[in-house]
Amino acid sequence: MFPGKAIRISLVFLCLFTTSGCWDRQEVDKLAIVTGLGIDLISGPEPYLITAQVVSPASQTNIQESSKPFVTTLAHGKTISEAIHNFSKESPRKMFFAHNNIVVMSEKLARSGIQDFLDFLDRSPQFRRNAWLIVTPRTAKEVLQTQCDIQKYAAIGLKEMIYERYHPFSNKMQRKDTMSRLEGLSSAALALKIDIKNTDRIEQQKLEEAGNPVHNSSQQASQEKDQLQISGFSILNKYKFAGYLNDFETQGLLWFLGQHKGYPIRLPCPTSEQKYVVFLLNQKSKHFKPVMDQEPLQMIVKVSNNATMAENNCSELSLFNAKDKENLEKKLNEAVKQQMMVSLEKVQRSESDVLHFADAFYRKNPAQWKKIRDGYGKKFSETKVTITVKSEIRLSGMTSEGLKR
Amino acid sequence: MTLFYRKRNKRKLHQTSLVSSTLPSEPNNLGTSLSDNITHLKNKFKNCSEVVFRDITFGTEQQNQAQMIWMDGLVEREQLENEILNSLIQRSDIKLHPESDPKSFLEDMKTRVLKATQVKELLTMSDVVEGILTGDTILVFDQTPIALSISTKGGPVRAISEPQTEAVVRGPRQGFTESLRTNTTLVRRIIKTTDLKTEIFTIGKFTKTAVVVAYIDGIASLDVLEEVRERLSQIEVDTILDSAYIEELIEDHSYTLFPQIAHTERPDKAAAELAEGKVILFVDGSPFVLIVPTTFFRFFQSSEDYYERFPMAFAVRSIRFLFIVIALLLPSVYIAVITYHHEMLPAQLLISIAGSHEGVPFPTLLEALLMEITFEALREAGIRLPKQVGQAVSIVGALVIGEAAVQAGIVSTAMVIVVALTAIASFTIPAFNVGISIRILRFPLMILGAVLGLYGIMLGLLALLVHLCSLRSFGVPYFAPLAPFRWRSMKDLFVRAPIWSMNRASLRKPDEGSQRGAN
Repeated sequence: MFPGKAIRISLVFLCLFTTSGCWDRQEVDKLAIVTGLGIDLISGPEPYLITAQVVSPASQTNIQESSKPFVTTLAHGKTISEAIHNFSKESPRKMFFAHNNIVVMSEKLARSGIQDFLDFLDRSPQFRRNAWLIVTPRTAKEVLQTQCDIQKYAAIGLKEMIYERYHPFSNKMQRKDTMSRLEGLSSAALALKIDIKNTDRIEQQKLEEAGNPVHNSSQQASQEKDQLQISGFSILNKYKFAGYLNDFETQGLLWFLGQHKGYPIRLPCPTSEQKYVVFLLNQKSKHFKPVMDQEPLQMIVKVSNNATMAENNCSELSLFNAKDKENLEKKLNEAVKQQMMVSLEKVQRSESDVLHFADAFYRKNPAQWKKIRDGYGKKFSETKVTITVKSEIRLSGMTSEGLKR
Repeated sequence: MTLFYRKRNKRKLHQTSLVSSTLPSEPNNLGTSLSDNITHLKNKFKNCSEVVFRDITFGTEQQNQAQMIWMDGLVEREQLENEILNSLIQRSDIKLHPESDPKSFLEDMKTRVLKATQVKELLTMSDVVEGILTGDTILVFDQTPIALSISTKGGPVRAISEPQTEAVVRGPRQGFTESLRTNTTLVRRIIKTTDLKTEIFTIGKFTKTAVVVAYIDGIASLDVLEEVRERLSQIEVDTILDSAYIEELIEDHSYTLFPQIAHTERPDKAAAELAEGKVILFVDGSPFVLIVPTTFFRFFQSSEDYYERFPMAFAVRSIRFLFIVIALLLPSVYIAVITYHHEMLPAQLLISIAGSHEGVPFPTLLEALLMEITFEALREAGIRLPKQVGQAVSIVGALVIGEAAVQAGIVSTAMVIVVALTAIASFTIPAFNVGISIRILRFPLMILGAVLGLYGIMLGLLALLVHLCSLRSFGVPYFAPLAPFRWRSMKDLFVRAPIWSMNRASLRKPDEGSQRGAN
């Protein structure tokens, strides 16, 4: 390769690179980074209202102290794609959805079916499959317009809240999981439930009612703000909303999924109903044993856990007393079973098999599964479930006997 | 052997010097008449003010006439006086006269009279001239067609000092100097074997620079050695001012960014390379000796890697390789990610970067080029400026330009961090010459990254890899021992195994695998 040839070749490359242009080039300051996406149903010929929570990066540099860390942009359309496309009517920057971790759907939309919406999300290359699907009893627009206290970007704060609250299960109920469950044997899946509460005002009221001396209530009132609140799971059945689970039911449900990690459970003291002993429970194992010989179907569920004492308000109880310990373990078994029964009942009533019993039935006998597959929801709701719990108290916390009473 | 040879090398080596035709042919042999010889020499050294001609007469009856010629400044004064002048002038027992028996007269001079260590007989005028020019003292006797050359090379030389470019925390602190003899001595002091051979070549019409080819007989590859000899003997140039001249004249590939011959200032490193079967070229007047053949990864190994215990050496070497990758790729990957692959960054990081980019008027590529070129200019200015000022300029450059540019919103803070990190990373490369190659390569990669994103960077890296694999250094594949792969050499490539675990063979011939195959 002598110089003349080298020059010619480098000229070719120079032209190749400079004249072809950079089609996909997108400077980072020309992007509107969407951190949260919401969808509502509205009246009129264009039923879909899309809300995008967009980061305003200028708030980073602190030049304008007063500027909000994020803005919400709205767009509506006859179809979801059209609505998304209509964002460009109002936004000077290109909407960039790849960093979106929160997908909020209003209950109204969820009731009418989310299949179209999920189909859209799944086809577009920009949407992440590890975003969380959320159903809210309010509107998605409201949820996305609510500020979060510590985290500047509310959607990122919401994502972190979900992650912390249900860790490690939170990583197993993202869009990818919800969709594969909806497509799976049971066609039922879980999503999250987010509500907006004015916690400050409610608690303030209660403080006053309890007779605490409260001053400057008017000044306090100015700080009142609506807060986002994770309040359990929502159940999706065949791409449609089928009900909510409250916190207690959610914890009961986690036992069936083998994901009950570190949630507290309380037992009343033997002598006084107003005092409690509290344990933190960590699930060790979960075992399903399906019995499919006759209808109704049967399921034997075995659950075991480790318990750590978190509070002991009962002066008469001591873990160093073998009998006490044995009694407590028995009571724990009963309490856990109770918790599980409550959520089981709720789930069975909605005929949505979010407990993955269907997988166990299928694994036990694939041939027979084909026979029971039709109308499985009904059969699931009639399934007889036997629950056995085995609790073991392992630790008494960082102390042993505790304070003298 | 001819396989080694590429056509362009021949062309390069045959650049003929301007003076070759203008020099008149010598009348060569010395005559018997002293005055004729002296006239001829004086003619030759016309207007050369440093040349001293000194008449001496000696012998029992002051019957012998001679002329002593030397170049003032090139010779050791004391030696000249003690060994030659004193031994001739104060002696009166020299009875012989060259006219009657020149042979025994010269023998007598050499064995009995002159107290010098090295005495040679010279027959031709050109040898005499060259002897004077290289610092020998020449004795020309009356009635004798043979002159005596006494080695009195001397004069001011720089003392041995610590190597400037290859400083180490631990290890020998002496470095090569400009004096050839000092340099070969420094290596001889380390390697005490008769197998250490030092062949001498003289190159350069004007400079007549001595080039010593050193190798350990029995370890060094004969093919490489033969190749070195052949390439050296084909050089025809006027001046050799530094070993860099030799490097450029004998290297395999001219049109590449990568140096194919390493150099060092450290005698210990030179000795280590000799023991591994390399050939070392000492060039008179240069404190840098050349190491051939050299492979790419040699440039990333510091002699300190062997002077620290192996876990530390391993850790330090790993960091070095990591930062070499950063020095080469960080700006281009940053540009590619920022302009094409926004989804690759964590959300918070992207928001931070977007925030720092807010209000910056330039595209990322332009911003990066601006900063990188400014940095290169600062670095260059830092070398050129006097030491005291250089520091000030760096501070002004770094603080004022960097800070002001960010304040003014011309560049983003993220870009300043990237450029600064790249700059630091590029100085972790122990060899300065490869450091420059990598710094230059950064720029095409940045453009590729800006045009085609990570795909473009990958294309660039592949092209680079192909290029590196196609290079050879004296017949040895440049990318050895990775391509061709040699498992045994892995002990001393990215990691540095304990010294006891590296067996003799792998220490000695890390690149031998293909050396033979190349022929």
